[in-house]
Parts: sequence; structure tokens; C-alpha cells
Amino acid sequence: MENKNKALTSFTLLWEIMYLAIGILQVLKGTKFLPDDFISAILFPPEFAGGLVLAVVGAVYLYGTIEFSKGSVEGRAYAYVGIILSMLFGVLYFLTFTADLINAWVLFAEGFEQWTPLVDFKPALYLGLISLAIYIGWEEEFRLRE
Amino acid sequence: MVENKIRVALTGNPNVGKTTIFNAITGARQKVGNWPGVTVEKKVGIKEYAGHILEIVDLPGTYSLTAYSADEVVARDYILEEKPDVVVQVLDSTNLERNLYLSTQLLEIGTNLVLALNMSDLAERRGDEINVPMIEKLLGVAMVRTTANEGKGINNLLDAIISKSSSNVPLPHEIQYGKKVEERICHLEKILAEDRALMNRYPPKWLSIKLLEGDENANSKLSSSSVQPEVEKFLSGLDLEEYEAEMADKRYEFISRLLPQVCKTCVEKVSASDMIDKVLTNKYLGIPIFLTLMWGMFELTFTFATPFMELIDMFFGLLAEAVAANIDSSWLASLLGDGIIAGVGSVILFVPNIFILFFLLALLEDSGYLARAAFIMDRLMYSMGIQGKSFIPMLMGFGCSVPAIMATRTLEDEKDRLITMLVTPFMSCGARMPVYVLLAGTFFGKQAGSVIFGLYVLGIIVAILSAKLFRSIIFKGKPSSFIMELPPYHRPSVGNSFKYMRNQGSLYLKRVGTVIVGGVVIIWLLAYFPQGVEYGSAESYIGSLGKLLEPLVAPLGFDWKIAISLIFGFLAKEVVLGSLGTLYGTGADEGMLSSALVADSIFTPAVALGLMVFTLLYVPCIGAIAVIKKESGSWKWMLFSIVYSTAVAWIMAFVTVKMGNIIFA
Repeated sequence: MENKNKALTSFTLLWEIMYLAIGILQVLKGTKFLPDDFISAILFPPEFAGGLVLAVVGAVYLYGTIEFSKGSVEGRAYAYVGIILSMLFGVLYFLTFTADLINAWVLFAEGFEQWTPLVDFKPALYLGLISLAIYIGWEEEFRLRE
Repeated sequence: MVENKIRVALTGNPNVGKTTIFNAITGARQKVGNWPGVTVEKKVGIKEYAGHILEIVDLPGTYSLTAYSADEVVARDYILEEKPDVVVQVLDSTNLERNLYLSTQLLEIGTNLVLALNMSDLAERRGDEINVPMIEKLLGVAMVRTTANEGKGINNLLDAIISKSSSNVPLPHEIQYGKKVEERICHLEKILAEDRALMNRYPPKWLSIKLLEGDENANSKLSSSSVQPEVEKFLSGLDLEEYEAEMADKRYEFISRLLPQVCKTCVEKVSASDMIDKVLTNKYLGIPIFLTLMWGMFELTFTFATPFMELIDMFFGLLAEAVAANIDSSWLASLLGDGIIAGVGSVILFVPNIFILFFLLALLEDSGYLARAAFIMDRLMYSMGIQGKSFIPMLMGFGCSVPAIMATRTLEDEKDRLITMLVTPFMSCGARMPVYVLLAGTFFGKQAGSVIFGLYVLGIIVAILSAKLFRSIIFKGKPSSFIMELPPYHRPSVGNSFKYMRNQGSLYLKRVGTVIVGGVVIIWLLAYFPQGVEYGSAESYIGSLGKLLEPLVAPLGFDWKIAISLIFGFLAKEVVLGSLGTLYGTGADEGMLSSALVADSIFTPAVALGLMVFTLLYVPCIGAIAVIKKESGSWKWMLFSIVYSTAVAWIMAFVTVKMGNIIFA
């Protein structure tokens, strides 16, 4: 049990840092406090609302890390809700990616002439897809037991 | 031979199997009666058992004896005023902590209490080991295990009732509320002791506690007492809400000390739903997570619908071309092309958005999350003058205001209900979505989803601030508190969500086929005639009407076409868009209407935002207005709703346009 929680704690800490750092970076770029091409405009696009979403998910992981550090079982709940939110937003961005792809490459819709897959390859998408893979492979670790 | 009659009150939290026990005891001999003065129903049943006649009174389910709702007043008053020989509290064995809260209050009154530990089979299956003799010893009660749906333990319960009825009524069980609270209770007891008649009727400590909790029903029991002025004077300097919260905490502290002594495993048992709730209803994370999910919902509603909209757009484009090519009569071609296809098409175009929105709302509701939204918002809502329960009808308003206003029936307090009824139309219903999608998509590009989300949040903010205003000026007083059973989370059913989406979407389509077709035909007629004028020009009838109305909206930067659209939007909010489509004569082509709006010098991003804000907040549609009249039973509130919402819309749109002019300059 101890070892399992350690693994989950490490995951929660890592994801907390990723989501908070990228979220804050996106917010700063979205509000023009940082230039769009700071670090990478493609991997970390300027997106205020999307950045806030990542920061909120990061805050959930942060709470999880704090609870785990206290030895509380509630840390598992934060890790569980955190990864569910990660996957939900991953799916949301994936559906947006799919819709834009259809608009650009199938319907040749107006306004999508310049669209490439990289335009919609946003942090919430790739972090969400990685989260999905982690959850599938590690489902037992996240399971909330009564 | 029948010896004597024993009057038994059956009480407990809702959904603990109380009625099942009542039916198991009384069989077919039950009868139903009404309490005088209240609408809440009670059941009375008779059972002959072991030489006794048991009159079982089934009281309404209640979580506490704090008289907030009519149900609680009925339950409490029966126990206090009628003084039954035995009170049976049915407990859900799988949720002892919550159920024992009521027990602590029943013990404070000093009742002859029998606890029926119902659903004990479920608790045992979970591995809970409840020590019944220990509970009996520590609380001074009788306790019986029952599994009412299988009829198990019923005879043991009847034996316990008979045995308890012949024992002396115990002294009230006392919970220590801490030095400061106890001093206040003692002081109140001393004041109350001067009224002997009152003290013979109600337990003095219990009455003192309730007065200190600010219990209005308990206070009313002093109305004819000589000690009332002194009690009022003493209470006037105290923050009663703080005392109420402190005493509730102490009761839960008492339970949390009791549980480890009487149950081996149930203390540590926390369900998966409870654990998820720790996160989703977290004091600091709850609202941000809620807003995040809402943003995701609107972002997806906007983005995922675009290919479907593109296909509909193509279809209507081809249809318009076919009409233009095959109909010779100019007026008929204009009616079909400029009127029906342009007006209806511009509304049909947004059917995918509506379907996606309803589907996502259904998923959230089915998962059990929407019930949490009411809980999360309760603190904020209470401080603003309405209770958290009001947020459920308000959330329903995201779908349609009509059922949402009807759902205010679930609110017990009349003032809470009227306030909720008047503010619910500010929640952005599905019919307004097409207007946002077109204008936000045209003027805000990739930020459209966030703009739409912002409008929904603005609706919530205006609703809550209006509630605060109404509570301060019109409906003075405090909102009632509420206890709400949160359903366990479960994986939402995609099938059920599709059904909900289909039903709600069909209603939208029906409106398109009736109200909206009617509306756009009227607009076309007014735009086409008198004969010889340019279609939809200022010289047409609609142009003349629009010019008449234009001064009212000119300060907002709106012209006569927008004024006309807003007037016809009273029929249904989708007509705002249908009217624009008809007046600009762009056919159903969304791209053409967008281009026409961008080309019109009147339309700037600030004006577009102002128009969206106005559409969000102004007078609800005719259906919502009719239901406000019906539910409030008053023309006054209906007219108030029309005038107030339009005034708020005008002011907010004015501020938006002025600020927008500065920001987007």
C-alpha cells in the first residue's frame, strides 16, 4: 500500500508541475505578458482560457500531492479526479481537432485553408492522451476503494 | 385480550425504508389523514400485537428537528405537542453518521426512543460490525436490527416498542456544547423558567437550544409568553447563525466520538462518491472546477458542431439556388428565398449546437454532477439572498426557461420561489445559443467559445446579483437553508443522454416549424411591402416600424434592423437570428450573413457583444412570460419580469458597447 501510494504520489507531483507550469505559461502568453514564440509557439500556444483550464487541473493535482504528503488517503481522490479531468479535456481537444480536420481536409470549409494538425496539437490534448494511456495501464492504482 | 393503546411515532431521514417498515407493521390497515393547517401528509396505521393496540404515525422524512421546512415542522411538532409513548427512528445502517444526527436531537427532547437499524443486511455485506448493545448502553435507547423489505426484525421491533412504552421517559440526553454556548443556554433556561406553563409543555434545555439556534418556529412558541420580551432582548445581541453552526458541529463531534466505540469498520468507510465529492465540492476547488467544466461544454458545443453546420449550410445554399432557378414568380421566390429559407435556415443551421449542448448537459446531469453544482453554489447563493437549491431550476434554465420556472415548485419558501422565478430567465437558454454562435463566430473567431462561455457566466452573475437586489428591497428576510441528498456518482448513460438530446432537440425543431416560420413570414411580409420598395429597406413597412423604434436602441449603437430583430425575438429568441437573416436577405448561408454583418458599418465587435448581452438578458420569450404569470399567479410579477429584465439588458448592453468601443478601438 505504501509503495503504491508512493508511485501515485510521484505521478500526481509530476502532473501537477506539468499542468500548472504549462497552464500558467499559456495564460501569460494569452495575456501578452510573454511573447507568443516564448519557448515554443506550437507546443505551448497563447491561449488564456485553455491555460486557466490546465491551471485548475494542476491545482487538483497539487491538492493531491499535499494530501499524500500528509499520509491522507484523500490524496487518491484528488489523483483520481485529476486524471479524469485530464482525460475529459484531452477528449474535448481531440474532438475539436477532429472537427477542424474534417472542416479543413474533407469539407474544405472557408477559414480552414491554413489549417495543419499542429494548429490543434495543444497541451491539453497531448497531456490528456498521455493521461488516458497511463489510466488504462494503471487503472487499479487509481481505483477508489470503499 | 387487548390491554392498552400505545402511540408510536415513526420518524427518520428520507429514503431509509421508513414507509417499508410502516407497511410491514400495519399491513392493509393503514389510513391516510391530513394535519390541520399544513399540506404535508401523514399516515396512521393500527397494529394489534401481543395484547396491545399500536397506533403507528408515520411522520414525514426529515434530516433534523430544525424546523426549516413544513415537513420538519410537522415531524417535530407531533413529537413535541402530541408526546407519543414511543418514538421509533428508522436508521440507514450504511450511513450511521448522518442518521445519528437526528437521533441526537430526538434524545435532546427526551423521547422514549427505539432505533430500528434498517438495511442491516447491506451494512453486514459491506463488512460493518455494529455493536447494538453498546449503542443501547451509551445512548440509553433500545435498538433492533431490521431488513424491512424482507420483513426481517419487525416482530423484534414491536417487542422493543412495547417494552420501551412501559419504561420511564428518560431524562434528555445532553450534548456538551462548550462553555460559551452552555452559558447562553443556562441563561435562557433561567429566563424561560419564569413561565411554568411553557416549561411544562416543552423541555427547557431543548427550547433554549432552539432559540439560540435562531429557530423561528421555536420562537413562535413564545408568542403568548410573558418572557418573550426578555428572551428577544437577550438574543438580539447574538449572532445566532454562528451558534447554530457551532452546535451542529458539536453534535457531529459527539457522533464522531461515538462511532468508533460502536462500529468497528463503518467509521473508516468512505464511498467512492464521498471521495470524489471531497474534490469536486472542495471549498476552493469546487467553483473553479465547475467553471472549467462549463467552459469545456461550451467550447465543445461551438467547435465540434462546425462540420455539421457546414453541411447544413451547403444544403440550404443548394436549396436557395434551386428556388431562385426554378420559380418565376418574383414574390414567391422572395418569400421562399429571402423569407423562409433565409429565416428558418439561419436558425436550423444551429441545430447541431443545440443537440450537442443538450447531450452534454444530460451527461453531466446523469453522472450526478449537476446536483453538486447546487451544493457548490450554496454558500455564494445564500450570501446573495437565495438558497443553493434554487440553482437547480437555474441550471435547468440552460436548456429552456419554461420547465426551469416550473421547477421552482420544489422550493418550499414562497419568497425563495418568487426570487428564483424572476432570475431564472437570465440563465441563457438553448434558444439564445444560435445568436451567440453566429455573432461570436463572426466577430471573435477562435475566441468564440470563450465569449459564449463568458455570456453564460454573465447570465449567472446577473441572476445572482438580481436575487441579492430583490432580497434586499422587495423580499426582505433570509433565504431558507436546505439539506439535499446528493445522488451517488455513476457513469452516465450515453443512451439516456441521447434520448434527452433527441427530446429537447425535437422541441427546438418544432418551434422552428411553428413560431419561427410564422415569425419570419410576418417579417418578410413587412419587409416586402408596400410593393415597389426595395426589399427590407427603410421604406418598407418593417423599415418604418424599425425607424420608429430605433431611438430606443440608438444609444447602444443598434440600428433599426437590430431593433426589429429584438422585438420579434419576444416570440422566441431564435427569431432574433431569423429576423437578421431575413432582413439582410442573405439566404441561409451563414457565411453570407456573417459577411453581410461584417460589411455593415453598424456592426463592430463592441456592438456584436452588446447585442449578445442584450439578447441574453432582455425580456424572456412569450412562453417563459406566460409560465411566470401562471406560476406566480400574478400579472404584477409577470410585468415586473418584463420591465426589469429589459431595463437590465439595456444598461448592461450600453456598458458593454461603451467599454467594447474602448477595448476594440
